[in-house]
Amino acid sequence: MKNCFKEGPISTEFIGESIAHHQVKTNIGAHQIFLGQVRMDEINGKKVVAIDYSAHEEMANKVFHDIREATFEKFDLTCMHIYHSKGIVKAGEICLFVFVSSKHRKIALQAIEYLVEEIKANVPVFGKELFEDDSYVWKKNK
Amino acid sequence: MIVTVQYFGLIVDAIGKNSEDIEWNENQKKLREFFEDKHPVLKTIHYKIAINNELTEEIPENSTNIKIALLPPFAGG
Repeated sequence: MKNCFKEGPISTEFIGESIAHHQVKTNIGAHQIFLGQVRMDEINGKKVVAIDYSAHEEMANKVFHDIREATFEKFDLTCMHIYHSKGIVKAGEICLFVFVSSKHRKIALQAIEYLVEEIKANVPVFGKELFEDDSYVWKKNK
Repeated sequence: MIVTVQYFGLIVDAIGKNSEDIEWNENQKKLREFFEDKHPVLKTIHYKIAINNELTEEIPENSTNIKIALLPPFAGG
């Protein structure tokens, strides 16, 4: 089973290189990328400075795999990549990188929305929202 | 049967451990009831149960090697 987790934030260099790797795949006409970024929320007057991500990794990788299969089944995609952070990601840094490619834009646009919603709803990832004073709350997806 | 249970996220905070082995007797009660009797704080928490990486609350019959996980609300992405 592929490991979709990366330790810490996902760097913009890594994202740029991923795009570059697709330049040899000349049957692709459209890429769609979704980047999740840690937001500096304010909760009860305290600012979130980072999120510490943890996961049931074995199950999460299986769910990522199943979502990937389902997305390929539903949409005519050329390729798909999913990376999620684990550990500490500071506000402003990237914690989720989802990348789909297809021949034409409409399929890529629809696929990315489906994929991101499935990930948010079904992957057992947990996030501790850390405040400046070392206190924290547990994040919950809306 | 001895079954290993893994806890995650805020459940680890609530009960103070990452995992534990439980003695599970097939006919005793529902899994959720079993955990909430063992750790009453779970009654106040929203969580899902996964058995061998699948969301379910039913232990498959005649299974010998089972891993249970208690999962608080997801926060990926």
